[in-house]
Amino acid sequence: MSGGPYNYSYIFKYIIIGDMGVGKSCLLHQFTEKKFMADCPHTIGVEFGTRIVEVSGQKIKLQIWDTAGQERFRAVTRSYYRGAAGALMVYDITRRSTYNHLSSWLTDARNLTNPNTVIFLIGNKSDLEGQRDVTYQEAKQFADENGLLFMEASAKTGDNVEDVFIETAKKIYQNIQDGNVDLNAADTGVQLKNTTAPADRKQTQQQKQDGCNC
Amino acid sequence: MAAIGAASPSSSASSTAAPSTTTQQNPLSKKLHKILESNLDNDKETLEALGVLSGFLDKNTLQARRNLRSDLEKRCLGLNDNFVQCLQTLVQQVQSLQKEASDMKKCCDNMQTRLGAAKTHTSNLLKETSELQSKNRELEMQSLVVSAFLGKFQLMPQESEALCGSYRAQATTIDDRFFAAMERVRGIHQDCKVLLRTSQQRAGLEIMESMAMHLETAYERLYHWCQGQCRTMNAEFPEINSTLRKALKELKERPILFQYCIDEYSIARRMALVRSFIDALTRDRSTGRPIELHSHDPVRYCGYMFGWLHQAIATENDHVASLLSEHDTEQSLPILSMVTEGCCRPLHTRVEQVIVSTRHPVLAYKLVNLLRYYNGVFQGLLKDTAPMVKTLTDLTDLQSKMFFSALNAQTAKILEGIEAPLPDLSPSPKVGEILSLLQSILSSQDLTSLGSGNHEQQLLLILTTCIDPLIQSCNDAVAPLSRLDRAVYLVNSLYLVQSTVSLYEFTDRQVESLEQQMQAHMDTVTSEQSDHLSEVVGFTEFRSSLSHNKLTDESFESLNTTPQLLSPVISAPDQYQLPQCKLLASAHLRNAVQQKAFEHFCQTYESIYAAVTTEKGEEVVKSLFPQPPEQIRKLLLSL
Repeated sequence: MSGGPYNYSYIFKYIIIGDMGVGKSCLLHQFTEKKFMADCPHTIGVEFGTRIVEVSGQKIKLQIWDTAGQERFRAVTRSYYRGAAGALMVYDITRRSTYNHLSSWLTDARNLTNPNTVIFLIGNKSDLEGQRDVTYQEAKQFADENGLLFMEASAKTGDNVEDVFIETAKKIYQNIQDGNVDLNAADTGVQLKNTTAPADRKQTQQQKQDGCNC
Repeated sequence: MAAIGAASPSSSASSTAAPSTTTQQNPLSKKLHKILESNLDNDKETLEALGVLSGFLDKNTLQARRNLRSDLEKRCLGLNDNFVQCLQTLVQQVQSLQKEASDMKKCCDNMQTRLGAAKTHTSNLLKETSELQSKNRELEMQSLVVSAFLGKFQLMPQESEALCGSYRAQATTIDDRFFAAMERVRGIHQDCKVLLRTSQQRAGLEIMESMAMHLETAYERLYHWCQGQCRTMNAEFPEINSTLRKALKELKERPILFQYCIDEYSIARRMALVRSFIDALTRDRSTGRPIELHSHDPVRYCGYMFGWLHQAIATENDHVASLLSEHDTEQSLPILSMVTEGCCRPLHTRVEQVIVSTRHPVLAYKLVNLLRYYNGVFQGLLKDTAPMVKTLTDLTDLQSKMFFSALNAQTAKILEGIEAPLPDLSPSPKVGEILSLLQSILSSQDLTSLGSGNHEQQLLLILTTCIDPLIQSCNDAVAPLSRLDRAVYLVNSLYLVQSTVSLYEFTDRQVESLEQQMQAHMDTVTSEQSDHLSEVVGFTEFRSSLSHNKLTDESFESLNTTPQLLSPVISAPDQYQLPQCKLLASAHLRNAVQQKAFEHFCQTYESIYAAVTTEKGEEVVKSLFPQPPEQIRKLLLSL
């Protein structure tokens, strides 16, 4: 992360969702602090963390909103889907119930986010192979059927954690490059920050003009 | 010549007179001798002389021989004459030479003096020259020093231009050259302090002054530039580049100018944020679902607004951090508080509208919780004095008030015209209604149930708001009934309330107070039950006499029937339970009443037994009461 903490071109907003206790906060902590947080307390409402990553030579600041899994916080957590460019949907590979609830989480995510939001399915706790309750194949099939990116990860060992966040960012960046994301619209979860990406800016302005002409 | 002339005749004479010894003392003989003895061969001079002499005469004549001497003398004279003549010339020449020499000397002397004069003259000149030369060297050195000094203590023209901007292009942008120049000015200013410590105070002061002026100009220019830049931060996503960051960092040296720029930034961001907020509320382009579309669902509507603001604050916080190039909460908090100020009004209007139009207590309570949650969140992100936090606090207070008034109204509405108890003395359905309302409220307390002592207080208030009127109306409803019926009905109602309330956290005090009220009514039931037992066995009269200390024979007589009456009670005490007691809703309560009533009865029995023993003696007691009190106690209470 060279170049100081302020040199980034984009801000991407993520939201992490999933049942209580699947390790959402631990994934975030592992990603932002590179440490495993044992005895992680239940999240109250929402919490948030940031980190700058580099994708295709662009520095991107990830603003990650970690939601409480408990149902009683729904009134708070559902407000954070709106502005998300990426949604990380987490289940626990050792607890089938958390996998079974995915479709309801997915429905929420589809309903409350915008159509370009990249949804990434994460099977957490991959270090607990012995207690596995959901096979990789099964989850992979679910992900493919629903057009989700998928990976198994472990917040404890840090396995794949980095990849999950960065792959999501790559996909979002790809969407921007393909012109699927209007940088001028609010609540896409993507913000262009600095002038350091003149090419993109030009493109954006072009899009804007196109929009005007239409 | 005379010697030679004389010698020649004598040499011939001496050769004749040589053997005479007497002539030895004669100088003539000596001379002859000498001539004779002389060896001509060895005498070159003589030989030469003779040679020369031989050329004199052409003929050896007598004349010639006689005239030899005069000839010689003549020749000698001639020679001398010649010699004199030659010498004369020589003398003349020598004299002229001498004259010339003396002239020359004079000339030389003259020259010498002149030279001397010139020398004195030149030595001055030389001195002057060498002085000048050394001065020159000194000056050259000085010039080096001065140029080094100027190089160190003065700005290059291009630096000066970078710093103060050229007149042609006043609005030139600030770039790295500017910062470098500024750094140099500051360096020079710093170096001057060294100068001040030396003897060069004046120079130091003057340079310092000039640098200070430069710096002022630079700051002013920087300020104008920053202000201009900050003013453009009103786009949805501000572009904060490293130059502005650097510029503001520099400007921190001038707190007032810095503050002006920050104010400018805050105002720009405030405008941008309000615009974005209104956009998100009314015409979200990307999702096509503006927040206001959800205004029919109060909790979701408010939740969306707060969630949006929460995220916006986080992003603004990032912007501020990147603007100040450090995370200094001391500085960023006032900015954030100002940036978010603009959203207060639109937020307040909308939430207030929701609050006022939300009449249902459960929904209202959910809103209270939501507001309180975000009040906490925003308090954590902003300063406590931030307008946004204040707005939320106001709204929370308002919502809290509205909630209680809604709860009051709802409770009153439910309890309106509470009907008289049914014959089974079970709690009124209204009690259930109130309790289910309370349950739905308490189960949505989730969000804020963590922490805050305030919460406990509020909970207590909710409970009293619901339960006090409930109990009051229950009391009112049972007024026309008998004491026992009333007590049983109230116990039943209170028991239901208590068992519901005790399921929740922080309700201990309320549960306790309910327990006390219930106990009071339980006591009533118990005493009714024990009185009933006393009556059955015919203790009533004796007991009242005993308590008044007026034992008469009649009182004792009233006990005569006791043995017959007592035995069925002992054998089947449950038969003598009052019908109302059976209507107590909980088996646990029924049991408790029974046990306590028996306990009371046993106590009555004991006191009567003791009184009879004292008054009438053991005999009478045994006949009247075949079972001693211990046995009765055992029989009744072991059940």
